[in-house]
Amino acid sequence: MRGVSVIGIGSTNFSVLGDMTLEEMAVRACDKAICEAGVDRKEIEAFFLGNYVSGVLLRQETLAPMVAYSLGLNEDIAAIKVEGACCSSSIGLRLGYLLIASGVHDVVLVAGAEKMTSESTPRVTRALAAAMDPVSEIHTGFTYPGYFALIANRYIHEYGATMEQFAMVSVKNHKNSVNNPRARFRHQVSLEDVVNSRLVADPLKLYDCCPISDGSAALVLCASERAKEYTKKPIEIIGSGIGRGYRTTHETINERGTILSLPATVAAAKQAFEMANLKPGDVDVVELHDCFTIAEIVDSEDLGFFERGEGAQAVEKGITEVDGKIPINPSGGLISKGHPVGATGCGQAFEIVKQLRGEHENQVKNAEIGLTHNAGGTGAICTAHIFRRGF
Amino acid sequence: MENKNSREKIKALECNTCRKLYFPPKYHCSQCDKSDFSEINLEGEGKVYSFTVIRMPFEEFVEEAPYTFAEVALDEGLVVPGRFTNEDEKDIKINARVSFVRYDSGVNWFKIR
Repeated sequence: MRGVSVIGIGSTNFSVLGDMTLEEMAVRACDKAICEAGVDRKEIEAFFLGNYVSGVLLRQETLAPMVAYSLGLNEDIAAIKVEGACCSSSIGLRLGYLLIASGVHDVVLVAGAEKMTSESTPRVTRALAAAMDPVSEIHTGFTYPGYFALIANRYIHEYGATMEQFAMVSVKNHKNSVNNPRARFRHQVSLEDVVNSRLVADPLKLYDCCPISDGSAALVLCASERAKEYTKKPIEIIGSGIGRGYRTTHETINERGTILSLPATVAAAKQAFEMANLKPGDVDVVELHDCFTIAEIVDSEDLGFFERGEGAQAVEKGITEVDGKIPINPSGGLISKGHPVGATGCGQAFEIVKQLRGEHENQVKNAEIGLTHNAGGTGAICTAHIFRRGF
Repeated sequence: MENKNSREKIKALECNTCRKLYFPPKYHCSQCDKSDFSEINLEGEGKVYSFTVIRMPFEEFVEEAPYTFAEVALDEGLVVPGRFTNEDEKDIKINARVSFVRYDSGVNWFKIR
């Protein structure tokens, strides 16, 4: 296996992009990444585009060849849409990583794109629920906020955590995105704002949830041995892990005995840390899958940053703040930067690359090692990637 | 109380080799790698593992909201999703005892005891 580096990044804002088509978003983000890398687009040997709900919501599939044509990529390359619910584009990142690491290709473009805000919330909620089991869960009226609400209630029951502790995740992540020009929300919220917002799925309230968003993000990957031809600031990918969990909540509980862990996250993190020969304490900055406040807490435990049941206290103690011991989601995370589902994984990598280059708007001091964690479905697919400053 | 004779049972799949239980569908046993199941009926007594009240459902359920959704841990050793026929919020809590009432259009209906 040879080294792989990120040599260029691009992104639209994660926002309400009402006047942009899905194709335009993807093309804008990819064009920025290609131009930043300074790579001739004819050198790109494969293109993976993460997307989840465009088939259901927009009746548009086969996105990758469409975008590849718009971008002027070669005809003799794989241009493939990658789907794994909210984990889609980080799966593409892993596929691109593997193709370069194995020596098949030298330069690969990976991206994610999603257009959601043009549709009503009940329609989007239904489209997202397609990652569940149609028989046992969808017919019962289950939703994704509902899934994380089950986790929240059980977490409170087992560990005695409070909704105020969960709310502190939202307060922190909103504060973090004030300086992030790509973020959906640029305003702070108070603890009272969060706990007094309306219930979505008890006990989770509106500000415990990430917003429906549009957006696209892209990365140009290159064999590390050639990275310096393109950039003075390559960011190496030194760990890549992926795991599969369960399609339904009851399967997770029946197979694993608990709802308070996503087994696919644990598997992905284990692989990534082993590959990088690092441990959680070595990581300087984290972008993880905080689709709901409770998700950030459970993820932080699954990734090994905190013991079981201690993630909520860690937030309260400020350990996950930008200037804390282990900064989590300095971009604002899914909760405040936004969650255009198929774009989120590449968006997280975009933020970490900026951190490790030392050019982030909400910079973690001397960040050298960064981790991204992306989750799809009821933890059905999760990835973890570890990045290192390569200069 | 429900009339016990008219009450349906919960359908489950039991692996004919290792006896592991599954809530359908399941085509291959994850414990013993065999693909031979029997459909069995469970009594459906159990307790709430966790629950939530869905207030922002997807389109087909907008008229029904708010409603409670729970994962129920059956005494017979299987966790299944379900809804409740009696929606008294103060009674629905983790470990509350529940009984199966009926299976209807893909939904397990339970009653808080």
